Amino acid sequence: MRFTKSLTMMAAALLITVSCYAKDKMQPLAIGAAAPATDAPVAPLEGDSTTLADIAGEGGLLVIFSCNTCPWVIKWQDRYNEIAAAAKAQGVGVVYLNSNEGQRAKDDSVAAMKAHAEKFGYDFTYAVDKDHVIADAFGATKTPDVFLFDKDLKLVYRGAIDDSANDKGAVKAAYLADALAALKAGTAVPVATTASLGCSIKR
Amino acid sequence: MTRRQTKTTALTATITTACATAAIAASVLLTGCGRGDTATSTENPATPAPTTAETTPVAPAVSLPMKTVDAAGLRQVIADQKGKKAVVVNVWATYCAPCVAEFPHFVEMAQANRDDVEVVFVSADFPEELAKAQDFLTSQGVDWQTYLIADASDQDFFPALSPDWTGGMPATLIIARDGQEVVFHDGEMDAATLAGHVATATGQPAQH
Repeated sequence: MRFTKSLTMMAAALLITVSCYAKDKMQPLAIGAAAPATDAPVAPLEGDSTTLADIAGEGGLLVIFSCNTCPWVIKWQDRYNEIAAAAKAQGVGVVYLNSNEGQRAKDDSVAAMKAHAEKFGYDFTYAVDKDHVIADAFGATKTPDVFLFDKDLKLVYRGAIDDSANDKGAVKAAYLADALAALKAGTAVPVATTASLGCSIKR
Repeated sequence: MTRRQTKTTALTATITTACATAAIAASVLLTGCGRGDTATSTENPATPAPTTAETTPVAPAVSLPMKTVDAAGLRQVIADQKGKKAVVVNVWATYCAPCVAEFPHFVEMAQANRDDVEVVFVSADFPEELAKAQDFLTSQGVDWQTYLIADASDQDFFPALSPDWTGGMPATLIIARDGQEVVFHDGEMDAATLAGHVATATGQPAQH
């Protein structure tokens, strides 16, 4: 009995260690990798549950991890609609995912998401990534965090929207727009990965 | 010091503490890294540093002025401790609730291991909130040099902390005395985990 208990405790300790290690070493999806978790549930604010496979268009798939409260999201979201429109116009399916399960009972509840989307005139699918399954599969660490896939659902761009969160008029490097343009033209994405400050996803 | 001066000093300290406490309370109340939907700004989040080697005081009016730091500056700050102390670099911001939550662990550890560990706080606060960040540092008892990211959009800064860092906060890099990386941690860190990594970095149990 005592042995079983010790074994259980050791297993638990090992699990915690592995879990901590995994968190320390979470790696974002590599360029060229296939879109993972494409059959995981994506719960839009209205309508039936769907999946990334369903959302993807003939031109590709754009997934942006977002939330209601992060200051960096607030700063960048004045570009959210035009990004979604540009992507859709070239056949790229679009979804903004909220993976903040740790705040689901608070600021990132479905009701709060609806209120936020309405307040800021979101004209795209803003959906719940339940239990951050997709964020984990993507290795997404923060909001906002952009993942753009081509028509074969291979990752072609990962990172920031652009280089000027505060002022879209001051953008010098429109990373995501450039990636979408390259995707449309069938050329290589000029800058395939970027980084940007953001808020950790609340798992 | 006269009694009047003493009272004035005490009052100033009380006001400072009250403001700082309010700032912390506000930060903690805001869930996640959010400050609600009133955070929109048209200003740049940080001012670019004029050089890579030198850092520039940003808010000299406060007791613990942060210095701006860019990629080269951060690498230098880390390199300066090689062979002397272990280094713990922590990127934080007052609007980031998990940053605020873990901050006392880092301060406590720093104060208990001054001879062995250099804690390098790097703020990612917005220019309009530097006073709040300074008040927070003061309220936490941080009496050593801290830093402010010079340019939030500088792609070179991220790999200067870690090639694995995509920009989420908080983020912590721990380096042993010999300059070898012990861990890069993306997200909040609890006191026990921090102590464990510091023990690895210093080769001795961390003091609490």
